[in-house]
Amino acid sequence: MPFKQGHLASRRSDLYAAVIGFLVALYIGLAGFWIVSDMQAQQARELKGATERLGNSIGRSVAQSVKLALGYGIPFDQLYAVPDYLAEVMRTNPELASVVIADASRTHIYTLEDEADPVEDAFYEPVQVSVWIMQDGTRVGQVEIELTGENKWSVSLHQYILLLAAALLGGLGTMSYIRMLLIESWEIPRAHIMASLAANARGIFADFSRPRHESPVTRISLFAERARAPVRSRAREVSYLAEELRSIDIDGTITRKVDQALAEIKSRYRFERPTRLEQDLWWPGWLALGLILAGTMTLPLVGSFAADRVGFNFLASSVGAGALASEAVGGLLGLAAAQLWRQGGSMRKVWHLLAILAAAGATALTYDLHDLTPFLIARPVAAFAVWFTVFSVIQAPGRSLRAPWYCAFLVMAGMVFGPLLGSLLADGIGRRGAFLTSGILIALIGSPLCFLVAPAQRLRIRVRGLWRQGAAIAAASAATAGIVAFYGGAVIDRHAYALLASFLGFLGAGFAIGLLARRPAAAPLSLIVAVGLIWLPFPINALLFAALFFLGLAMGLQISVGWRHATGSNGLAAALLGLLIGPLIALGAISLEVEDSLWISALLLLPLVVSLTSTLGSHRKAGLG
Amino acid sequence: MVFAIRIGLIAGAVAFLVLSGLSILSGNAVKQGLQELEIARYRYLVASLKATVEANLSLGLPIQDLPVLQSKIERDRSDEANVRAIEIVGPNDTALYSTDRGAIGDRIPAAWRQAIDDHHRSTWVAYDRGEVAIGEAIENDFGQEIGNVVLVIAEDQVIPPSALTFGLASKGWAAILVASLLTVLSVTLVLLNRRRAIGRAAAIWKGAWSDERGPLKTAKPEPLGPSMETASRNARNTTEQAAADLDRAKRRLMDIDDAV
Repeated sequence: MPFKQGHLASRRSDLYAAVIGFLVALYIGLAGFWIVSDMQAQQARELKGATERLGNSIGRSVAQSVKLALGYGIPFDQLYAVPDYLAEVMRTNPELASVVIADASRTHIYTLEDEADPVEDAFYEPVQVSVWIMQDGTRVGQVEIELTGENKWSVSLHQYILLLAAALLGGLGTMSYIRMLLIESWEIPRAHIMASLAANARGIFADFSRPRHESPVTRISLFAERARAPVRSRAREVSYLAEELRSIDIDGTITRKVDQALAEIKSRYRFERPTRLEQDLWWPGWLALGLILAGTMTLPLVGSFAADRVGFNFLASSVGAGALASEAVGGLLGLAAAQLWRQGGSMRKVWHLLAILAAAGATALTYDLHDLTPFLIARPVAAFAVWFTVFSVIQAPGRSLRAPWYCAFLVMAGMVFGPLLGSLLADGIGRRGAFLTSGILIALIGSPLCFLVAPAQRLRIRVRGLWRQGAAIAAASAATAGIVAFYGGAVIDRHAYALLASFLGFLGAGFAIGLLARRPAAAPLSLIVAVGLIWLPFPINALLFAALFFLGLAMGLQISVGWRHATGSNGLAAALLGLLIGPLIALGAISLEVEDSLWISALLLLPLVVSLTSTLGSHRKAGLG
Repeated sequence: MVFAIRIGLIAGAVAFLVLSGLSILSGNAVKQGLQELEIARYRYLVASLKATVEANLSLGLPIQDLPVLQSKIERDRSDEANVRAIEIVGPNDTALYSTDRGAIGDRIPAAWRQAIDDHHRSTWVAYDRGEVAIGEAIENDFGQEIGNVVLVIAEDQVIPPSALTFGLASKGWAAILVASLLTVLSVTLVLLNRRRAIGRAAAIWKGAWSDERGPLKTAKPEPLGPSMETASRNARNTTEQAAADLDRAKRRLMDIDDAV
């Protein structure tokens, strides 16, 4: 009596996971705000001191030049080319707000200042520095320098963006963990127990062994078994008595009477186990999440790392996109290898181990890699080995019990959590350090996994239409995530890793909420909002955050239904395909010099059309349209 | 209870780790900000030196034949107490002029070459053996790179002491601990609430739920099946019914036995 997948779709578990995730994000947000504010109070003096030192350094240099000119006997107000010199000083030092050269009576002789920006003025606290111009021990003038204080503001902004990413990571991570835990320790044992209770209610008193999962639900199983045991004991007594009577029967009269007495019991109850009730299945696929995290940590760094090998020229974007695309191709080849290689055996495990060690080496050695060609070879090799092992591990029996969650979590780990962690790591220890860490983690997590690989199994997809729309949305959304990774890493700002982590966090938050909400009909609306936000004529990060949230929401809403019957391999393949398409579309957009909002909208139109048609289609099927 | 507390502790550990990571990254952001400001200070010096060198080059003299640069860098070095050395590197990666005269003719460290290659003619920074080198490419009138101007500073002049940037005040640690404890408490309470359904179902099996305590509160059915409480009640009813039926059957069999 296999139990239904429906048990895993418990709304209450969704709610519990969402509430816990929200609370953890809230606590991290509040505590983090306190920590960052406290730190900012400490750092303000240091940053002001460093800004003043910079101002002093520039002031001394300007004063030295002026002193030199005055030494030639040129009067203060007739110094040659001072405005051009000051303009050059301002150009090479973006921190400067104004430079003034004044005489001994502090009358401003030369002044150059940046155009006032009301937004900047509201946030920055300017720092003023004065340096005397000395000649023969006499003060003949002074250089007055005003620095914007932008650095202090940008450090504070950096910290708040990190706080945002940390809160999203903590909240989403805990939510995913709790939902996964509820599947393993609640939903599956509950499904097992509900099946045994239903059998019990129908009159079956077999000894349904308790699921091995450690779960609070198994208490019911224990109590039920305590109640069933005396019934089975009585049934045995009745059976022995009936046999005894039959054994002394001579003419069949007693047997007839015994059969009549037991007729009701026989028709109503059974005391043997009718069919095999599926035992709990430990599924090693969840462990593959760790390998996905380790393997995708470097995704947001690949584009920028490759682009930096060729410098700031027209090839940089193409090389960045090519590196990301080659990673996606490597992953897809890994999937193909796992699907084609249907045999298990110890040799397969050895090959997996070798592949994982190669991937770990290729990723870790990037720490000391400075040339483009070996990097372009290393990325697909690493991706191939990681995904080959991931796809082989998730083939293990038990995945169908965990649908649709396992597929959604695998994609979320690869497209949101891994890149988010990688971005934060790069922010802390740098890009090369992140590659090294990723390589070490691939070896540590991937090597034991190689011994859990399973031969490929075909899983029947029952609702093909829903699967297709889910895959389409996944591909399109992963394409967008790929673009975020590519643009965030290679084009927008090569060092904005914290910002990139927050982008991915918002995409993931939308995705998770969509998964839990399970309202596919709302997906088109969510996409329309995302497109609208990108089209708004204020290209600020806040709108991009919101747009990515709604994009993730649409993806989650659609997948929550579409992926119930999809296999992990297919779902991940769609996501990898998206990763291949994303940078290529971005590259096309760069080549055609299309505006950002236009090409992102064009990309979003694809899932919008798919969502609208599928929603209308499902309503028509249900007699609503 | 143990299950809920254990999961609560794991969630609390997640919150603790994330917040600790945040404070490290946040401290690192300050460190980067301070470092950028310090480097900007020396970058300005490098830029003015580069301008001087390029102005001399525009006179048409090769870089090797500009001894005036040696006195210029020595003068600048004496103005900046924090600068350990100033070097002007030629096209074949050897120092042509240096305030450390013994280094003239030496090849530059590999870390400098790597930083030059990685930064493509913008200001580059290399960290090597406790020193920070800040440099910029020198270009001739045709835009060709013919060398680099390099300032060498002690690392502690550029990188702030870690105690300043990584140190978390006691208030910060208190916030981390409070948030972690709140997480443990909230997750445990939420999961304990989930156990109520089990308690009701378990009560049915234990027979502890009597009619005197009022009718059983009907749990909301799960969307895809009956609640555990309903299933338990149905199963228990059948179990009791089966026990009674078996007793009756046994009595009938014993009657047959007596009759025989």
